Amino acid sequence: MPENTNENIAKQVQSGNAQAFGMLVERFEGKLLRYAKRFLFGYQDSEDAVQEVFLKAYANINSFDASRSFSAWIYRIAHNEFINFIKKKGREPLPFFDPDTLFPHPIAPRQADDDLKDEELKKMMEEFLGRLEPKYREPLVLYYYEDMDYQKISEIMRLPVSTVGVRINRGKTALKKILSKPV
Amino acid sequence: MTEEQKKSLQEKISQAINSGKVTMRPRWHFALGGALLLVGSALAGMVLLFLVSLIFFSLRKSGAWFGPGFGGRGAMELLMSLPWLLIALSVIFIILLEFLVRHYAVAYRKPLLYSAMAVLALAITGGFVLALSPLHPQLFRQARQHRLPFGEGLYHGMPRPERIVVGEITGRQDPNFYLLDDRDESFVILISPSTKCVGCVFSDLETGDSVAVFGRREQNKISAEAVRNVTGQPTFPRRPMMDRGEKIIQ
Repeated sequence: MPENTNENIAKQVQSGNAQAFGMLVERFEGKLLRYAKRFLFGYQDSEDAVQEVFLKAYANINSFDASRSFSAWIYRIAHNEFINFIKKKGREPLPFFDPDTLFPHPIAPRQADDDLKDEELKKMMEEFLGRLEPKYREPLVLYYYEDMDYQKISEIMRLPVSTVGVRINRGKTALKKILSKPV
Repeated sequence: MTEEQKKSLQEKISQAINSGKVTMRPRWHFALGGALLLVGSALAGMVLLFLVSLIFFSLRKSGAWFGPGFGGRGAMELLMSLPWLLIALSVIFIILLEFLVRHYAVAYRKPLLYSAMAVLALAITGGFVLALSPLHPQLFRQARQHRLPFGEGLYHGMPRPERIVVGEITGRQDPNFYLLDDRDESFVILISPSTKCVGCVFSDLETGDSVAVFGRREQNKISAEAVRNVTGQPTFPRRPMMDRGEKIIQ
């Protein structure tokens, strides 16, 4: 295993090398700030939220299992922190229970032109993300801007994979409706 | 974000770490959390199994369990005699156990329905098996003797069906017989030509047999519409002759 993987660096931090944590901050800062800016669309102080993510990651570094993905782990912390952030601000409702998680949902196979459509959607999505509910906004951000697959998003959001697919599709549908409305 | 702003974020984090404002939680903190979650889940599971098994025991002991064997009206007796308090407590523990189990990847990766169904299936199967053990009969005896340190009310307060009585035959005066239930209440079972013996023959019923009787009750007399021999079934083992005591009613 190469020495400078995220997982190896995390192990060094666990062993007491606090300075090694700086490398992880450097690697994930840009990504988490991008995630925060898009998920916490329209909220001020998203940088403070990212700072909290890193501080919590450091405090809880001993809970990280180095045999698993550090990226999924820190994004999970970020997810929790951003959800708390939204709750504190109180601007958007976050339901306690989501019926989407109750039942299995079939995932539709991708069509040949889906990649092209996704690229077009991604270009237009940026401006209108804030109009989506957080539960649709987040998986869209992780899928289109963080280039994560359904499995990884499922780990971060602690949702069944099929529910991730449903939310992405519903988010896309909602965005298309917004985009199709006359200005 | 400019380089200056980026540096500022890294510096803030370094400063917080170096100053001790944020410290690493020790490994034992997370090991303890994991252990508590596991123990909590196991305890919730055990309480759930106990409650579900008590539901099965309660239904058998009261005779409501045998209701469907007496047709539609018997099935209604079962429905009317369900131990709703125990069922409500079981539902609470199913929800609690589901909440705890969702912390594990094996549960949260699948739709909630799957893990809930798995918890329910395990509760019903495990509860049914536990109900066949001597646990509840022993606790029931202790409850009757007021020797249970707690939970006596669970055994005393079991709902009873209106039209089903279960007990032991203490004597015969053909075609009728006498019955003693688990609360030492005596009944005269009146057999008519229309009374059915479900899966049995009246002439084969003898003193010491446990039977379930479906019929209308008037004080201590029951006009039996149907009778079923339940001797040997769980909760109604056949007691040796010497243990039956002198409970023959003339």
